[in-house]
Parts: sequence; structure tokens; C-alpha cells
Amino acid sequence: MIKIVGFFLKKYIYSRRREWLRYDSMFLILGIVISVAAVTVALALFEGYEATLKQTILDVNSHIYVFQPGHENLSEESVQELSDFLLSQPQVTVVAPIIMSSAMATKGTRIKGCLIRGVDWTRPELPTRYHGFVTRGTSHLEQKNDTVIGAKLASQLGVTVGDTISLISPLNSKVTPLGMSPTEFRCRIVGLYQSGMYEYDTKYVFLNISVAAAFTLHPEEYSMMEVKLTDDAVDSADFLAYRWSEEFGNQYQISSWIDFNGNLFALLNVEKWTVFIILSFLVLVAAFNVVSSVSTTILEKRREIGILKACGASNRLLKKIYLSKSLIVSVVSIILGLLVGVGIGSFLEAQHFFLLKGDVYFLDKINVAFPWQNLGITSVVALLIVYLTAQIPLRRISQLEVTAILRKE
Amino acid sequence: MSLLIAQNLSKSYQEAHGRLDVLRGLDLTIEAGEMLAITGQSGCGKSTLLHVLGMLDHADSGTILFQDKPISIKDKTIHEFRNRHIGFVFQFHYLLEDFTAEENIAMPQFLASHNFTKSLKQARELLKELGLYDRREHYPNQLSGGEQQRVAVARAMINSPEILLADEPTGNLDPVHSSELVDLLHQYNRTREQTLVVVTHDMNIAAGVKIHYVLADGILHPA
Repeated sequence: MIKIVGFFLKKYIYSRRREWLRYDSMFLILGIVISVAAVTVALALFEGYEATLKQTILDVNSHIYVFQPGHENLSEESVQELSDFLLSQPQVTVVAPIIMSSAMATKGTRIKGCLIRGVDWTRPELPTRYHGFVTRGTSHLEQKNDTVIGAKLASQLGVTVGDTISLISPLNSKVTPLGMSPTEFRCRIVGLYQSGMYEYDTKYVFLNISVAAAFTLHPEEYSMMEVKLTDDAVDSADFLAYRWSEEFGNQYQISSWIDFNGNLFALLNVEKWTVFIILSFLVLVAAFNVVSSVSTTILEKRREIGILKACGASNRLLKKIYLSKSLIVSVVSIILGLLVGVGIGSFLEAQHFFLLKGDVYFLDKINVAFPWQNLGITSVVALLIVYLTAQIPLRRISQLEVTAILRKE
Repeated sequence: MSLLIAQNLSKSYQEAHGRLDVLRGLDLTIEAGEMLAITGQSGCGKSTLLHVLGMLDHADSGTILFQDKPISIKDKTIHEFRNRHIGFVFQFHYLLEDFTAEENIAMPQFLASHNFTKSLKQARELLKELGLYDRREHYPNQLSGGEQQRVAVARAMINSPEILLADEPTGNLDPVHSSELVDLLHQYNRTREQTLVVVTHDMNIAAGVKIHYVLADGILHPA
């Protein structure tokens, strides 16, 4: 039967009358191309956003954080104990303590809230990729008052590399004869940090760890430990964090990047497939053209169907012949739709006119990704919809009686 | 054993002004190798009878036995029966417009064997017999009326059916082509012992056939 269907299909493709160039075929092709392209672009945007967000989160955060429960700081001994334990784990590559504190950054009359991060910049490798995101200036904090600040924060303050800003922390106030005096620290900007994460680029102010300790007035205390894992252990960070917490008898609070962002990614995943289902209705609407196209074909080919039935063709064979014609047009349309979708997606990624609102979406750049499985699922679902929709008009083939056809002819 | 026996066939159509009975308890026995002609007035039911005998249409009542076995249009494999045992020639050639002469002839064989090369080879043999080999790659609209009808006969013959049913085969041809086609049908009957049932208006054709019935009042009368 495949040979016969193939023969008819070949005849259809090379038909003298170019049947597939008919008006209804063109609308069928156009409908499927547009709907498949829409689904492809939507999935690519979600997939690109998710992948870039995950990569950025992993780049700008360490994989595991270790805190002292109850907002206490980690002591020098705790840091040593944790370092010894963590570095003995095969999944751990780098461990380092950091200091964090809220403050205000000021330049003239401009004041912005910021987050101090005291990091040991002298270490060649840190658990978090801080060095790599210093896009202007340098990440070498040679002088005591050198700082690297978020690029967007710098822009909000109207400062750049070489300028000085003041950091003020009411939290770390000193007691003076005149009362409580907030700690103030003047520093010189030597570099700008740009991770792509809006939240970080508008908040971070990096200091050397010893300077940060002096600023927070808690020498020899650390806010937390940052831990970097091997690449293959990154996705099981939540499990490792749980296991190590257990090993320390919950003496430390150990959290992973998944604990902090898991809900976000779960939500993104749900949204992605919800949008996919909704946009699949576009394909369904486009597939209504299949009904009209197949109906028109059957109406036009009544004579051919009658003759073939008289020659001994079964209804099943005839259905397969006319279904295959629709499917071949649909397959071509789906491929075209995928190509158009990939083209539009790539354009959106390359252009700089339409950007995301960074304060809402974390990222401001539009990113796309086209994983094979998404393209495959889109194609299979579109083809399935076409296949099922085509069954409606194909039923007419069984109902056509040869004598009725021949009498009308 | 008779080739085909029709017993007590009845068929009527519901029309605007009432019921039209075209077959009223019709009986017919066809022996292998016979050539029959059926004539009758227009609208008397000749084509309906042929369609019922060829399993293209169903009778309201009555039975049809083919080689002593009852057959019905409702059988699931009736298309295979039509393909293998029955050949049809219609008044209008009813060739497939998008297919060449040889592809049209090969079609029933291709449907049965699924072997296009073999079917095409056999179609070319038939085209040679008919003197139409040079026209094998021509499309129906590139053939004359006589050529189209001869291609239609070749298509009906390709599976060597037990019975060939021809419905006004010359109805659309000029006298010269009509005579050629009748000669061709006689030739098949003589040389291949092809069983033939020809429904016609043309009394000249009917006169040349040994067994001649007239359909009137829904039954067959010997002429």
C-alpha cells in the first residue's frame, strides 16, 4: 500500500496542474507556517530566558552557601572547620568566606541602597565568578579604599571608574560623645561589575574582605561561606546541601542555588508549557484549513475517486492517498514554520531595540534557545493536529457511491 | 457451474413524483465465455442492472452468485472482488486525467499487485495489441475519443477479469470508432473466451451478439 500511496504522492507533487499551488493549499500552508512559527518563537524565548537566567544565576552566585543559623556571623574557627570538611568532599572545588552588609552609597546628593560584598580579591579563584564580570576598569583592589561597584548602580549615582563614592552604614554605627554615628567609608571606584542580573548590577559594592570587616565593625567574623561545585554536581546541589546539613547535625544552615531559585524555575517551566498549549490552539485553528482543503480536494476528485473505486481501490487506500497529500503539504509547512520561527527568534536575540525590563525580569537582554526536543515536540503536535483534523473530511470518501458519482458525471 | 447468477433482483428509486421500480424480480444466468447484449429504452434500468451485477450498486432484494458463491456489495473485501473478477467499460472513458495512457491501464493491476514495474510492462503489452504503444505516455486529453475508449477497454482487461461489463461502450463514439471497438470486444470474446455483458442502445451491436435480452418492465426478455 505504501508503494501505491507513494506513487500517487509523486504524481501529486509533479502534477501538471500544480495542485499544491491552489488557493486553499496556500492558505493551509500559510496558516500552519504562522502558527508553528509563533509556537517556536514562544518556546525559544522561554527556553532562552530560562537557560540564560540559570547560567547567569550560576555565574553570579556560588552553588552552595553556608550560614550560621539565627543571623549570626561565622567565626574564624567555624570557617576553618567548614573549609576542612568541604574541601574534603569530591564535589567541591573552591571554598571561601565572604562578608555581606547593607549600606547606602552616596555621591553628592545622590543616595542609593547597596549591598556590600567583602571578598578576598587576592585569591586567583573564588567560588563565585566576580572577576569575570568586571567589564570596565580592573578587579585588582590594590589600595585599601579601592572598590568595584555594579555598573547600573554607578550609572544611578552618576559615577564611573576613577570617581569616589561614600558608603554609609547606619547598621554599623559607632558610639561617640555626640551619640550614635553611622560608619562612613570613602572609596575609589576601580572597576564596574556587570553580570546582566539587574538585581546585582544595581546593588553590589565589592570591597576587600579585610576592609569590609572593618566597615561592618565585626573583625574575624564572616557572613557566610561560598562553595563552588564540580560541573556534574551543580544540578544536585540541593541534595548535597541537605546531606551536609545532616552531617553537621544542623549546626550550620546550608542552602543551595536550587533552594533559592527552584520555585522560579518551576514556575518558568509551568509557564512555558502553558504558553505552548495555548499557542497549540493556533495550530488547531490553522488546521481547520486542512478540513476545507481536503474537502475541496475530495469534491474536485470525486470522479477520480469513483474511477479508482470501480477499479478496485479500497476506501482505506483512498483515504491514505488523500491524507498523505495533506500531510506532505503540512510537513513542508511545519518545516517552513520552524525555519521562520528560528529566524524571528534569532532576530529578536540579535536586535537591541526591544529589551526586557530588567527590574521585572532580572535580565534585560532577550535570549532565545532552540533545543531539538522543543522543535520535535512542536512538529509532532502540529502534525498530530493536522492528522486528526484531516480525518473529518476523509470520512466522506467512504460515503461516496461510485454509481452516484458516475451518474453525476 | 455458471459464472454469474442473478436471482430475483429488485431495485427502485425514490423520486419526487413517487417510487420508480427499475428492476422487478429480475433473473439472469451468465455462463463463462458468453457474450450478452442487453438493450432497452432509456431509463429502463440497463445501467443499474450492470452496476448491480458488477458490485458497484446494491439491489433492494435478490441474490447474486459468482461461481456459485453469494456476493454482496457490503462484503469488506468487495473492492478486491471488483479488482480481480470484474472489468468495467463505461460510456464515457473515465480515464484518470493526471495519469498517462499506460498508467491508466496499469492502475487495476497496480492496485492488486503493488508492483508498478510489472503492471506497467503488462499495460505496454496491451497497448501494443491495441496499436497504441506510441501513445503510451500521452495523457487522456491528448488522445482521440476512440483511443480513449480503447485505453479504457485495456484497463478493464489488464487483470484478465472473469467478466467484462460494458455500459454503452460506443455511446460516445463516431461510427468508425464504434465499429472498431465492437470488433475489439468480439475479438476478446473469441480469442480469450472473455465473458462479456454489453448494455447498448445500438441495435447493430446487439444484432452481432448471440445472446440478446431486452430489459422492459424490470425484467429481461429474450430478444
